[in-house]
Formats: sequence, structure tokens, C-alpha cells
Amino acid sequence: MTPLGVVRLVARKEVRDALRSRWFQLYAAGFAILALALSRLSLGEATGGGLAGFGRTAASLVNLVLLTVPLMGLTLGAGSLAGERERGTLATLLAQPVTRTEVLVGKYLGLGLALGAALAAGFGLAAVFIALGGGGAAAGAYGLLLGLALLLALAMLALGLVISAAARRTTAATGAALFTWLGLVFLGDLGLMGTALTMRLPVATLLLLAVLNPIEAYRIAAIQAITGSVDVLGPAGAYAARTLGDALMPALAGMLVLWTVVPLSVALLIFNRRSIV
Amino acid sequence: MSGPVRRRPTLGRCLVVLTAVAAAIGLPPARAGAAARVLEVGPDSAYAGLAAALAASRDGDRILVHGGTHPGPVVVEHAVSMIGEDWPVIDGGGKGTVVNFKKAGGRLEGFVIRNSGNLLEKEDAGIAAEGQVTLVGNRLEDVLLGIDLQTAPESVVERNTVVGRDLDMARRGDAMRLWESHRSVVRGNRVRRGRDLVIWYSQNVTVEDNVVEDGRYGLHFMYASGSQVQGNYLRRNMVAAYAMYSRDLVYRGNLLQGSYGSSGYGLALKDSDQITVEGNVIAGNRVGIYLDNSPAEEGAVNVIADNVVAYNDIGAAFMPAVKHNRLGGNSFVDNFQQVALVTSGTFSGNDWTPEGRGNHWSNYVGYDADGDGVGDLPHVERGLFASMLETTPELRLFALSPAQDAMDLAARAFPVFQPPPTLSDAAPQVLPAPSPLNLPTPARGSLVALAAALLLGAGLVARWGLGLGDDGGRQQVAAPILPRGGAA
Repeated sequence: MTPLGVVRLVARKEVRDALRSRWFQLYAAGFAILALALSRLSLGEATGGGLAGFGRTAASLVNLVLLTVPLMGLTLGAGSLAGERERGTLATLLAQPVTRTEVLVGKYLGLGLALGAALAAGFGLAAVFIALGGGGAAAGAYGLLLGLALLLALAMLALGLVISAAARRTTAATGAALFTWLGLVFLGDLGLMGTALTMRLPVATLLLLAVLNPIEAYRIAAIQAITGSVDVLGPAGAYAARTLGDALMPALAGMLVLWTVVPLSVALLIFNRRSIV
Repeated sequence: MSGPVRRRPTLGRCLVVLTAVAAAIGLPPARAGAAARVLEVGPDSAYAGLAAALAASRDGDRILVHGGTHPGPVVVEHAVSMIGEDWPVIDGGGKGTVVNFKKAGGRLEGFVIRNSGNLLEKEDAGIAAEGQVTLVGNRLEDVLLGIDLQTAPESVVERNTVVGRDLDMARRGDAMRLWESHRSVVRGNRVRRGRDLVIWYSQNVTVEDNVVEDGRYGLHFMYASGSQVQGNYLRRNMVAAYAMYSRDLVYRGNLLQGSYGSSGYGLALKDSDQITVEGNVIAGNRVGIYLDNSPAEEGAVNVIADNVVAYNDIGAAFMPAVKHNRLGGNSFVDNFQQVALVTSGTFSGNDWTPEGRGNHWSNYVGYDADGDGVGDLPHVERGLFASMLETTPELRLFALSPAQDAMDLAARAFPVFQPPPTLSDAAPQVLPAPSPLNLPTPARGSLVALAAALLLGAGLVARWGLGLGDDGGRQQVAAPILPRGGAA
């Protein structure tokens, strides 16, 4: 079997396992239901005819993505290798004529596909509701929003795989994933806010420190995608628009890709070096 | 009984009046008198070009132009009406102002005006007038300034289309400028890509049903008073409506939307008094309503009522020490920050519940137990994050982040962190007011198509993964070498 064939087979098995996993089903259903509820709610107050709709729905979708997608990506990634190692199935798998790189890449792609399908389903259902509810949306901006969410999911998945490759037990991996989630979503921002308040950070430094966090990079890119500008982010937003201009979106997407490539390489490195049991 | 004896109208007197009316609206000159003639311009007419007809014209003449392209610049020395049929074009040749009315009483209708000069210091315009003028249904294209009225009281500017030259904002000219043109009417025009629509030193101007898009100031009053502004759509300008040093303006039923940039105001008042802002939709701007030292005079009051202020970055922003505004019956819906004070302070001195009628606040957390539509607890505006923004505006970078929500939630749970309220509305409306404007629903075909594609994609992935696809055979071959994994 060619290496690509192995990757494809492992990926397919990973998609199948994910679809059958209770956790994944819970995540996917929860995301879809929340996306639907949010689009319904934000259309409910439609006082301005065509004014409501997309902007607000999209903003609440961004909030949903900010909270749930990192959680999904991190915990699914963290559970993946650690779970199989603990059950002993990883040893059986690696006894086949396959390399560890092929297995890890296959697992990553399979999980990414499954997660992408869950996001596409959630966004798709929300889009149906937005259209039915009378709110219009630029399909381009909506698609961009989904694309960015996908990039974030892939980055979080890669980070989850690092945890999974390094962890000894599933519980430890899940715990580490949850803590990483808490740190990226809440503690990082709160810490940065506190630092900005006490140390009077220059705007450029604050912006740079913020976008080092992939979740922040996603949030700023998503705001740019919805409103067409980052005016709402105040002086830091104005600074970003002034210095980067049209390169802002590619730069933020690049940060997300970087957060995919680097953790994935680290995960490969650890997985290839460690004993499997 | 003294005083003039009122005579009963006779048939003869009625005929005299009718003849006068006929003359005024321009029936054939044979009946209306010798003064007014009709000069026809066209390939088969008495005059071959517009210039020849204008040279031969006298006050009161009508010049009927059948199509064709006529070279400009055109200087109109007499009070004549120029009526275009089949869109005759006046081409300025890239020099100066295309049509210049030197005498009051002119009229221009149904022309295409294009290709003015490009010098801002010369104020090269599509149409300029130095006296009363009537401009109806013209199209102005590729002009630096659009319509420039200098001391032209009682002018009428109706149903014209002005599309400005594609230049940087700083190099554009005003799409329309009225200077000391009292009691003029600007109605039903469409203006795009200009700089400003600006009204200077003019009283009692009517501005109705215009659409102004993609400019700098959608509608700008300077030292003007007594104007009625109704039913205008001002979209995607840097500022939608700004009044400076003006008074007694009425804004009613306008759409002020999508203003962007550092001064992206929907409605802004600077040093303006006795302004009424009623029943407008102010949506999607950086700042919905911006008040700077307004009202300025002792005893003056501004009334801002029954507007929908929605989806702005900031619903209403007040400069420090702004007082004597009455805001009631407005709906503040889902503005990222409902109200903000530029720098610091409170909103005290403004009435948020005039005559017992409050506003709707989409972030109201109280309840309405007696079901009368008015919240039983006052609405107070305060938030830890918002109060931090006053001193550290850079923190706005974290707007819409989970961390911001967490902080505001924590401040509510532990009131020791809660900042003092900036405003209190004693009678908040539980439900938002219905939109005062009937806005069209945007197209949604492409969104439905995208939704279908997304759902189809998700379905295909699931089908492939579950081995129901057309290559299911290979899956069966592969199955023995792959043990069942995952956390089922």
C-alpha cells in the first residue's frame, strides 16, 4: 500500500470512529442546535427589516465558534492518540506495515474532516434559518467566516494532538486540553487586559501579543469578515488597518496556519520518538 | 361696514387668471403672450445647437432640445427654460463648469451633464447657479462638484442623479452645495461617490427622499436653520448626517446607515440647538448618535425620540458636559456599546425618560410583572468593560471576546467590582418599537445555495466515513487490518 493510501485509510477510519463517538455526536449536535438558536434569536429582534440578519447573527456565530470550536478541536485531538494507546489498539495498528507519520497524518486529516463536516452542518443549518427568517447575508462573507472557523478548528486539533502524543493517560490528556482551552479562551485575554491596564502597553505591542493567540487571530479576522473593517476594535483595530491594510486578513489566516503547522510537526516529533505503550 | 368690498368672481376674471397660469406653466406662446417663445434645437429644427439657441434667447423663452451632444461650458445669461428630450448631452470638455446660470429664473430639465474641469480651487461643477434655478431630472456624470447653488433662494433641485468622479476623497468636490439659498427644495435626488451634500447659511430648506451613498458627509448643515429633513437614505458615507452651528432642524423618517471611519457618525450634532430627531433608523454606524456641545444655547433643548438605534459599534456617544437632550421612545438594539461617554463623566442633565416615556434597551435585565410593556425596574447602563474603555480605549481590542463577557458577568456576580451607572432610564420599554421605515429584505438566493452546499458537503463526509460510498468494497478489504478504535 502506498503511503497516501495508508493515510487515506486511516483518515477514513478516523472519520468513522468520530461519527460513532458519543463525544463527537454531542459536540456536533450541540454546535448545530446552538447555531440555530442563535440565528433564530438574533433575527427575533429584527426591528429594521433588512438591517438585522447577517451582522448580528454572524457576530453571535463568531462568539459560539470562539467558545466551542477550540473545545471541540482540543479535546478530540487530545483523546485521539491517548485513547487508542490506553486501549491498546494503537499497538495493533502500528504492528501493520504503516509508519507512525502516516498514522498521525491520517488521524489528523480524518478528525479534521469530521470536525469540518460538523461545522459545515451547523453553519449550513444556521444559513437556512437566516434565509427563512428574512435576514439576507453576503454568501461570500458567510463562507469566509466558515473557512476561518475551519482554520481555527485545524489549529486546535493540531494542538490537541501534541497533548495526545505527549500524555501518558487519557484523563491527563483531557485535563491538559481543558486547561489549554481555558488559557487560550479566557486567561490569556484577561491577563493581557490586566497587563494593558497596569503597564500601559503601546497599541502595537498589545495587538501583537493578542494575535499570537490563535483564538484572538480568528476573532479579529472574523470581525473583519463580517463588518469589512476592524473599526469596532478601537485604537488597536485602527493601527492594524493602517499598518497592514489589505494584508490584515492574510496575516491573521497565516497565524492560524502557523498554529497548525508548528504543533503538527511537534506532535509528529513526539509521536515518532516515544514508545507506544 | 368699511374696508374693501369683496367682489364676486366673474367668468371673465377667471379666464384672465387661467391665461396667466397657462403662461406660467408654458403653454404655447401664441396664447400666453409675445414675451415667451419656444426655440427648438435639433437636426430638423430652427437651431442646430444649444449655443445658437441660447445666443438668440430672451428672458422667459423655452429652449426645447432634441437629443444630440452639445459642447460646454454653457453660460446661461437669461432666465430661460432648457428642456431636454431624448437625453441631450452637454459635455464640458474637461474645462470649467459645464452649465452656469448667471441670472435667476433659469430651468434645466432632462439633460446629461458630463465632463467638468478638475480644479477644486476653481470649483469646477456640473451645474452652478447664481440665482434662483430649477433643476429637474438631470443626470450628472464625471463632474468634480455636482450642483453648486450660490445665493440661489427658492431653487428646486429634484430627481437629479449625481455620480462624482472616481477620485480620492480629498480630491473630490461636493456633490451638492447650497450657499445662502433659503427656502430651496432638494427632493428625490440620487447622489453617489461625491464628497459632501452640504447646506451653508440657508434657512428653511426642504431635503426629502434623497439617496446619498459612498460620500464623505451624506447631509451636512452649516449655520443653517429651519430645515425639514425627511425620508432620506444616507448610506455608507463617512458621516451620514451632521449639523454644525445650526438650529430648528427636523430629521424625520431617515435611514442613516453604515457610516464608517474615525468619524463614522449616523447623526451628529455640534453646537446645534432645538433639533428634532424623530422616527429615524440609525443602524450599522461606528457611532449612531454623536452629541458635541448640543444644545449650546441657554434654554435650548434637543428632542431625540422614537428612533431605532441598532447594530452600531456605539449607540449614542456624548462629549463631556452635554446636557438638555430629551431621549424617549427610542429603541437601542444590539449596539456593541449602547451608550458611551467620550473620556468620562455621566449622562446626567439629559432626560432619558421625558414625560415618563423611556426607551427600549436590548440589554435590559429587569422584568415587567404587571405586563404594561414598561419594565418594573429602571434600566441602568454600566459595565466593567465599558468603564475600563473610558480610561484605556486600547482595550476595545477585546470587544466581542469571551473574556469581555466573563468580566462583565463577574462584575454582576460580585458587585464590589461594579462601576457606578452612567445613566438610568426609569421607564424602559420592554419591546422595541417597530421600524419606522419599511426596508427591503436583502437577496438571499446565494445564501440558500451556500447552505445547500455546506449541508451536502457534511453529508458526503459522513457517507464516506461510514463506508456507505461507492468504494465500500475496498473498505471491507481494509477492515481486517484496522482494529476498531475511537471512544465509542
